[in-house]
Amino acid sequence: MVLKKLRSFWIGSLTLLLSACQVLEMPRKTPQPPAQNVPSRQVLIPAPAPTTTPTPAPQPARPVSPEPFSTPAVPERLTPAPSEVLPQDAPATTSLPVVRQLLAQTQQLSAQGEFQKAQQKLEQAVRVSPKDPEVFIAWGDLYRAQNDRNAAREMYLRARALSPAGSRPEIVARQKLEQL
Amino acid sequence: MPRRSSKAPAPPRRPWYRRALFYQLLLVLLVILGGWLVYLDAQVRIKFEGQRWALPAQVYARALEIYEGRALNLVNLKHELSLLRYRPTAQADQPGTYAVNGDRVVLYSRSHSLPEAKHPARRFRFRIVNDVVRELESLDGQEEAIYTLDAFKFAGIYPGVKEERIVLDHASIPKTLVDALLATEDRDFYSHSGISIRGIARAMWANAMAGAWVQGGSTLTQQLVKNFYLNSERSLSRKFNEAFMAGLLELHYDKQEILETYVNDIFLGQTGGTAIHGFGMASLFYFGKQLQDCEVQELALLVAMVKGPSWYDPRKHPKRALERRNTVLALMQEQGMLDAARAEKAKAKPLGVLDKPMFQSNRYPAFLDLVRRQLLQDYAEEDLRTVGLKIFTTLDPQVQFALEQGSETQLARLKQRGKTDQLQMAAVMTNVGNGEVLAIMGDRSPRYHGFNRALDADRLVGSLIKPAIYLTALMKPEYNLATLISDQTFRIEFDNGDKWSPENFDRKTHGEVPMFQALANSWNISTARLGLDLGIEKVEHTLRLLGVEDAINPYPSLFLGAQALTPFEVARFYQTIASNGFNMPLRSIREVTTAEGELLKRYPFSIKQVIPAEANYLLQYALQEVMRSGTGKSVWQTLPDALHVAGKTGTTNGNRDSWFAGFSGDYLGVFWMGRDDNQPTAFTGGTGALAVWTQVFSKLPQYPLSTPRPAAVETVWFDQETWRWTDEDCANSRPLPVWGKPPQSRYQPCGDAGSTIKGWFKSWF
Repeated sequence: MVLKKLRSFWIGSLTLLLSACQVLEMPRKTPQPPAQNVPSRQVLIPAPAPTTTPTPAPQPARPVSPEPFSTPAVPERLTPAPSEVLPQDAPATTSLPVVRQLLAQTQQLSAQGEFQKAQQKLEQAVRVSPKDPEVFIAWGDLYRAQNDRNAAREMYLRARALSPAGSRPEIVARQKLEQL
Repeated sequence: MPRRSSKAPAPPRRPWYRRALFYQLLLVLLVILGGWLVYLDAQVRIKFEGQRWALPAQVYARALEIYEGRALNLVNLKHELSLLRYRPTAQADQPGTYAVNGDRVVLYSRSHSLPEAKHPARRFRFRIVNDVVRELESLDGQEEAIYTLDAFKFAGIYPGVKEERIVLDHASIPKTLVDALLATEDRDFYSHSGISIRGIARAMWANAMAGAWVQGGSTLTQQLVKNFYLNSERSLSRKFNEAFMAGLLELHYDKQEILETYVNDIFLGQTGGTAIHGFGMASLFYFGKQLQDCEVQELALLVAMVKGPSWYDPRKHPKRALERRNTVLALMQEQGMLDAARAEKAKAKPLGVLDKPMFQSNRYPAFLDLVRRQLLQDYAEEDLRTVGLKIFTTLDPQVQFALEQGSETQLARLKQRGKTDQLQMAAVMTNVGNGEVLAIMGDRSPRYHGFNRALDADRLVGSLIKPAIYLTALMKPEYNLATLISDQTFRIEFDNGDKWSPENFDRKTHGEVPMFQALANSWNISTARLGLDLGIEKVEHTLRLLGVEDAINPYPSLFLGAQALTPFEVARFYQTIASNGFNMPLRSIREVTTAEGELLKRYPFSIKQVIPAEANYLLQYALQEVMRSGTGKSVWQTLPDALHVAGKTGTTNGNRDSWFAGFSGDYLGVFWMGRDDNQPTAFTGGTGALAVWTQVFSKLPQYPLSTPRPAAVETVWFDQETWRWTDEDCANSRPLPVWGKPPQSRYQPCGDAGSTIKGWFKSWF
């Protein structure tokens, strides 16, 4: 009898031990697959020349337009001279080559629905060239593609505010504002 | 009970109860042992399965982006490279080095990851011509539009115990490191099951041969158990636990996971109050390199330090460390992991350790304070301290450097001119184009951790308020920059009998003055009159549009700046003016990611136009006039006038507060000086804060302020006596931008024929 009791005690404690083990069984951390050799950064492909508008000539980073309070006598370091005279009727705004590449990438990403990545490119473009109206037109387009009219409007407004009167981006921004 | 009586006591046997007692005892022991094992097992697993370490948040400065046309100078670039522990060399032929020859720079960046992309190490060159990056080209065959350097980690947000570690996954641990580690610490790692009898025997043999304690027999698993689970007490019971736990660990987890944890857990150094853990952090700490970029002798040195990081500290005991490193290399060679030629070459190399550790626990306390406040709106304090968030901020180390250097220089100069004992200062620098906060000082000593005046010193702003009044007027069609306002003294009496009669700083009155001159010279009487004409609510509304969130003083003294604001709030207010009337949140963080780099949160750029571009354009013109001919004109002694900077001085009674807020095309800077006890100082806005602002701006390469003129703004000539508009050819007239031509009743035909003065003004076009 006592032995029987002992035996049941023995079995009982064993099952208890086992069950304790089971209770404490936890999901194993799944081993992670070895990281693939991800190409670290996309090779930047020079933006293809836009088909509708002529390729703008290489231009100063932040053109100093003839304004009542900005003399043309700006030291060289601040404004590189434009290498080409622009047509007088519609002075094109000029994006740095870097910015043109970023904008081309933005367009590509936006077409693929990668809005967040596209926006990161635009943030970068604003850092490179904060006064370039083309960047804000592109940003307005990106918001419009996402159906965010209010945000798009602000971007077009900024593009307009940053364009010299009568310039191509000013006209484009105005048209886009009307279309909204 | 019947049993006892029924059974015959036939063969002589040990009494049944003694046998039972034996089994009972055995069982109890087994149960206790079993229970103990269960307990150990739970210990082993709970800690291993959960988050293994409390990881402080890592706070990074913005990564330097280099592209054709970027404004950059060599002094600031070199400063940033030294923060990043890039070494100047002749060829720049290794990641983390650079070479400068005249205006030519060759840079070899380190590989790194940012939220938007992984960047491999890149070698490229460029010239810095007139403070602009030119002729940028790749030297490794892969052209990029933008080359990005690694972001400077300037702070961590720590739990109680300061531990720094970078957790690496198995794939990013170099094989050579594993080789060196196993060769030195545990050569049977892949065959033992927690404890290695061969290892112990080998160690005993080695110790006996050497006659001293030269080698331990602990396996990596045991070492991990010791560091990870147990305290440092040396006792038999601990050794016992260690052995069992090592066995349990091996039972549950594969070698790869154990090795990975070991590599991340191991203690490898100490700086100040912070412990350096894991090989990932140690390679940065000692070599300023990612572990993956380390060479064999560098990895061997890290492994050498496992035995005793302070005893073999390569900075304090280079000889000892070198010897031990070469022992590791010899062991690797002995076990066939390294051929003789490579081993000899590696042994001949110097330690290659950075003089100063690449490690900052909090270099920019005022900026970190701002970042932390922003983070606490979105994250729990606990998460910031423990889950290893990566915070990518907007801090620009070059602007911060210019700010600190410029302030120090100017404060030293001011000391010669007046008492500066208890003089304090605060400053906020932002990017005009996108609202990013670039640099902050919350105390005259930039390393001071404490009261952050940039964010918390609510001080009267004085004349800094005035642009809001003029802007209110310029938004109305009946005002333009030449509109005359009276500068004759007046007095108003309030219902309670209080009287108010503002005076000018120079104690003079100036008759009828055009608005732009009243602002440029910061005349109080005319400004107060203008404010009263417009109404307090209208001015308050403008302040709200510009971004002021504080309670606003509802009395006319508001017009003269009896309104307390912090430097940061002033920056928000002036940011709107600097960015053409667009309100944009001042951001200090770009992105937050997990420790593994997964994006958690972005703080995107957003804007809202709050002021018509035309009115803002006129205000910017007037603020440029401040710098050309008004209270800010001292700036031309230092800055090139082609920068066309705009700004406003502010001084309160008795020079208690000296303010300046000003901007170029790239940067906005808001500077405050004064005493914490609010006692008078020797400096006005013009002699104090403006002087520091000027010093700082002179150290920054930047583009000029140039705002495109809105289509509705035209240029009109005004007679400088009557301030009526007139013809372009008139003598004694000057041009001013206007939003809509003034009425014909304000027109006056030309008196004389043209004069030379026109040519002078025209030079401003």
